[in-house]
Amino acid sequence: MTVVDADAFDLVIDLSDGPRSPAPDTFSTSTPSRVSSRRDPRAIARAALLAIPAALAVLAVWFLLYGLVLSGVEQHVMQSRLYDEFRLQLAEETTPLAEPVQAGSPVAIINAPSAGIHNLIVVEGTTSRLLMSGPGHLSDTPLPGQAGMSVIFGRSVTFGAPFGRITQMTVGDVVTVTTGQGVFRYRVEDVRRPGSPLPPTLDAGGSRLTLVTSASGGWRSGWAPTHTMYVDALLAGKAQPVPPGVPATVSPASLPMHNDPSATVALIFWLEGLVLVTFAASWTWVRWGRFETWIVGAPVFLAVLWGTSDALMRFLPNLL
Amino acid sequence: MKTTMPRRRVALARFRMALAALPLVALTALAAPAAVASTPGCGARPVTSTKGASFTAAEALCRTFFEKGVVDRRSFSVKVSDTTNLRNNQVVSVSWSGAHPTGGIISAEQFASAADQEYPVVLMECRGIDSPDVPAAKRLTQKTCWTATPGERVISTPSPYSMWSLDADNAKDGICTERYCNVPIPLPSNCDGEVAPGPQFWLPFDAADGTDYGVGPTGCDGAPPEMLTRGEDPTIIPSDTTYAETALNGTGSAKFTIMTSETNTSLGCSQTVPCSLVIIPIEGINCNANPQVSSPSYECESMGTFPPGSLNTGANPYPPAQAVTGAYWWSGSNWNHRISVPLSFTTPANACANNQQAPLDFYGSEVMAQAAEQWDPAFCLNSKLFNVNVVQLPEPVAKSSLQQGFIEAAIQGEPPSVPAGQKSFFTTPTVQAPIAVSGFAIAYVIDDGNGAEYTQLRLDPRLLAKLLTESYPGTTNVQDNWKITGEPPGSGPNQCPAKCNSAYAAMAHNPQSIFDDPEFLALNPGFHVPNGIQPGPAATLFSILSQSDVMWALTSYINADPEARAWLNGKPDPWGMVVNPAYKGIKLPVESWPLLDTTTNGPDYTESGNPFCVGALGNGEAKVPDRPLIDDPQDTLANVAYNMQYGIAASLISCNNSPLTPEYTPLGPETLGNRFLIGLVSLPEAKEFDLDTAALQTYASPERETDNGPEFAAGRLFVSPTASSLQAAAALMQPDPSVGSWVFPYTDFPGNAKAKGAYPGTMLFSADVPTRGLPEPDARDYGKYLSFAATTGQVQGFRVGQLPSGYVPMTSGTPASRSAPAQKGLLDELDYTEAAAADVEAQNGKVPPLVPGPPPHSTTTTTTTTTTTTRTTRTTTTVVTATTLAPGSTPSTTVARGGSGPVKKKGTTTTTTGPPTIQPVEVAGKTLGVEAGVGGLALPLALLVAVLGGLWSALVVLRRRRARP
Repeated sequence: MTVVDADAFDLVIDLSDGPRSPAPDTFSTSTPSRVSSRRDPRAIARAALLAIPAALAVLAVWFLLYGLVLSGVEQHVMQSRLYDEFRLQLAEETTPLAEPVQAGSPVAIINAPSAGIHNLIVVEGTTSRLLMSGPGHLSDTPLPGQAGMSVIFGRSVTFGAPFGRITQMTVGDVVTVTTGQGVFRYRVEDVRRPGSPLPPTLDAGGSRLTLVTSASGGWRSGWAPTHTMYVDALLAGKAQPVPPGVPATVSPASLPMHNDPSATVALIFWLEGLVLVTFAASWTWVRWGRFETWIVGAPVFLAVLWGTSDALMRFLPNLL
Repeated sequence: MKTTMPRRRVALARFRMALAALPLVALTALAAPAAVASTPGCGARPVTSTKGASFTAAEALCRTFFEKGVVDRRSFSVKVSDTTNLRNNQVVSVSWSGAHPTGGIISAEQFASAADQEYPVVLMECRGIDSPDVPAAKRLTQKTCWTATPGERVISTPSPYSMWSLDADNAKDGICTERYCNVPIPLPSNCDGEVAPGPQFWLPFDAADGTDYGVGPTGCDGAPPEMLTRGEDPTIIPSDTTYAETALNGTGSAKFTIMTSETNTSLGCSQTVPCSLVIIPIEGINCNANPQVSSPSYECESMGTFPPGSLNTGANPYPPAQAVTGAYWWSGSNWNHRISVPLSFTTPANACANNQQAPLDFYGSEVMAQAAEQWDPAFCLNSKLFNVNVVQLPEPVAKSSLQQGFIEAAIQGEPPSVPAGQKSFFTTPTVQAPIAVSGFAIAYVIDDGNGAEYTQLRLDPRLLAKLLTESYPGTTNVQDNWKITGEPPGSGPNQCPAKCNSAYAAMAHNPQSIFDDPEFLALNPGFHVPNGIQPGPAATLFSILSQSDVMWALTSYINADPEARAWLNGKPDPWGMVVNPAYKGIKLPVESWPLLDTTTNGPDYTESGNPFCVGALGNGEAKVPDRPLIDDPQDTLANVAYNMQYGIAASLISCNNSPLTPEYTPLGPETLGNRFLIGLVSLPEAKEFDLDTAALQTYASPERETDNGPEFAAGRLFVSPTASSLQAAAALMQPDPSVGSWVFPYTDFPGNAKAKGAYPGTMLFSADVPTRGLPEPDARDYGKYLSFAATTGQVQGFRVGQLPSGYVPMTSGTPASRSAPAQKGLLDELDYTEAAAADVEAQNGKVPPLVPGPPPHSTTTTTTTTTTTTRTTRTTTTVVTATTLAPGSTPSTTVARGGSGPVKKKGTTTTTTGPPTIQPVEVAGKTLGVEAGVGGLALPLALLVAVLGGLWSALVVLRRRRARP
């Protein structure tokens, strides 16, 4: 990606060597006025020496910003749309009650005040893309509130970090899940890390909710998780029976800490878009002027960059 | 810019500096009150923290008097050792500092009389959650706190000014301050004659089932069944409510026994009913007035009549000051100083009681009881499995019942001896599958003269022999008897008149009790005999009456020691002590220890000075042999452990003083500070009750001194029961095809240097199950149990399906260290058990070989040589991911028995020898985490790139700027 951009910058520099006075290029602070020939390879190399690292730095900063802040905004928007949809479904009693449920459709509302989770919609599916909307329900487990062990994944760093604080829950904390079958109150029974003993066997007819997220210790905690963490909660009350049809397996991309390699197509699409926008911007830079290019180009460029980052995030672990 | 007036610039700079400094000042100003607030103030809630299973808390204790303010202030902090996964009767340690030193000390801390100490620390178990946010039915209050006697909940005082009405906190908190509190008017008929005149405060008890008991004096207004009411002797049954003493430096410690609903249904603590350990450091009543009454003990503002650290011997003319005794633990001032430690419990031992199916029975060893308590719920609580029960029966009885076909399975601690002429002890082919490594321990409770307990005791086999063979007289009558007959001690038996028993002569020179024995003192230097020691109970090893493989193991250990064997055959020890002639030459090992001494008391002997006990038992001269009375062997090892836990001397040398039915009674609890008791217990019980255990001799160098000089102890090694010493011992076991199992080489002690680190009390417990003749569903279930025991059951922990402490997992070995070679786990034994499980399930009449050939089912190659280097430590943890436990779907678990070390061929096998269903495996495995891989580092990498890129660009730009002319 950076190679593409560097070429784009090179083109910009070349064009700016034309009749207009050399403008300070935001992506490169080389001094083209001193270069005698416009296609001097040394000049190009000098420009690239500055342009490439600077571009990389800016993109990295953008990526950090996207990962920590902007993705949360994206998730918030998605959640609000899902909430409206689920509310309607609850009112009309058309919520999905039996699996298989279409991936991406809302299945439950989860509340865990001690972990800072308020009215988050749980969608069906746990691939990297689906978890961008909020917590996701693992498809080969029963729905929350039904007998058995129901598993919900959630991100811990990016996209609003819905499960970022569940590892701080203590035994006895309440997790409330609302589905079309009612309101179910679960009480946390343990918080597990790799190597912790598994919880005791579930009684017949009991229901357990396991929340899965990622975490890490030391300097990596909070932004670079290393391993999965599990929080188990036991239903206080009567569980609903499980209707048949629960899938036996899920796709590899739905497993914990797996990424979604199918995002390659989307990524290529967005990268092409990025190239197009850069080309267009460099054209308008000359034709329309700097200020106009900024006004028009910046939002477009940001949008495309956002899309690219979105696709890129799908290559990272789904619990990040 | 350079033309700006310098003064303005300076002023501007100063203004900027001041602005910058302002936040610092503000922060400091904010920090100061925060620093002050961190020291806990009077009335602040305690600051608590938990670390793993332990719990610590700190609070400020303050006592205030009206018009005088705070008169005493202390910083109290307390630590509780274990608060999670607690079992019934488990003992936890509580230690504290910063409390007011106790005065008028009463040493029996767990008895109701100890409430009358001044400034004790009260420990009690209460039901409920200590928070105002929970509904009243679930809240912890004084009424849900357990006291074993009604007397601890009833105060009656003749003074017109009752302490509870003078307590300023009572008025604030809404506790009754009237003359009669919770006293029903009219009085119930049961209470006639029980209620003293004057003000009364009765504290009711709320039971778990919702019943409210009024209690009252001697329980006359209704008391829960577990409470001791009139007629019962409160000195025999200790309760868990403890009134512990604090030393002069403010520190103290106590052991507290946890009770669950298995012992106490009225209190009702269980996994579903939350309970707390409530610690109340008594600081005294906060008085709102101080009426002067004639007797100073009723003065509210008394600070105590006993000096701190003094004992309450009854000699002090004034009784303890009521305002500062433990009797007012419930009153507001003391109650508000409470620290509630939440407790959580593990699956109860009777979890299987509700399972209605007919259980699969194993008959056998008491030592396996704790393991069975944790293993059995893994089966009986799983609806796809079965109900299982381990019935406690002496192991020799179980083995012979199995041989005769009365039972289906037995658990043994030693392989049975094969009768001459037969190939095997059992009549049908029977596997003896090892399922656990544990053993026995010699527990002791011994006080030194300074109020602390000894934490180290060393015993060699000869000392154990001396204790068992009743060779210590234990009483003075043996020497005294010479006075009766007119013969001085030391004259030989030739001068003994006809009345004289030769046993008296032989033992006349023996030390009265073990603490007089020079051999004991040589091995335990620095031992100081308190004045009040009872010699009788200290002359014996408390053990059991019934047959037991534990006794066989103990006597095998004694028999194998040349010194002990020679002594038993009659050779005196270096100081001249000889064996009791009744036991001379006894053939060991034995399954049950015989009581052979028949010497009887002289006519003057009674422990209590009461002639009735002696007179009624035979014509004015007691004919009962007294040494068996001192021994008083118990029915089970659990009884011995119970006595050790509470310091109860079981020796029947006290008299009930009843003229019509005189009876020898147990001596009872020994006084704190003078206890000396040694008993044989099982190792799991020693761990559960937190008993001190003795170190047994494992090695005596051939060059050591054997005479009675000061160098007697040099060259001898003693080993306590620890996980590594048990593992070392288990590794010494050798397969013996003639008996069909592994045997412990007792002859390795004391001469074999390889056995230096091995604990001699180790025993290998095996399940005996026939492989022919069992009905089909039982055979399959026995096979599953054996397979479970060899794999998942060896994971140590407190959860259902795991191995409790006191047992050593057979799966783990220890790596080599400088002092010991590497110990492999008991892999041969585990392989045998797994193969045995398959044979039992198949009922094919076969018994697996002790030394394995190529394994029948596994797809890996194993070497058949017995070199220990090809097999390294191997953990057989079953690996189950969280996602595959959905019961609706077929379990897609793979049971991976991971191999470690250089034997890569052992890899992961997806088959197990045994049943294909793996449900019990699900119960206790470890969480499999998933690693994030490189993807997890995305954000740090981005930051790195941003920083590097930015730095590079900045450097390039700077360089070019500088290069520009």
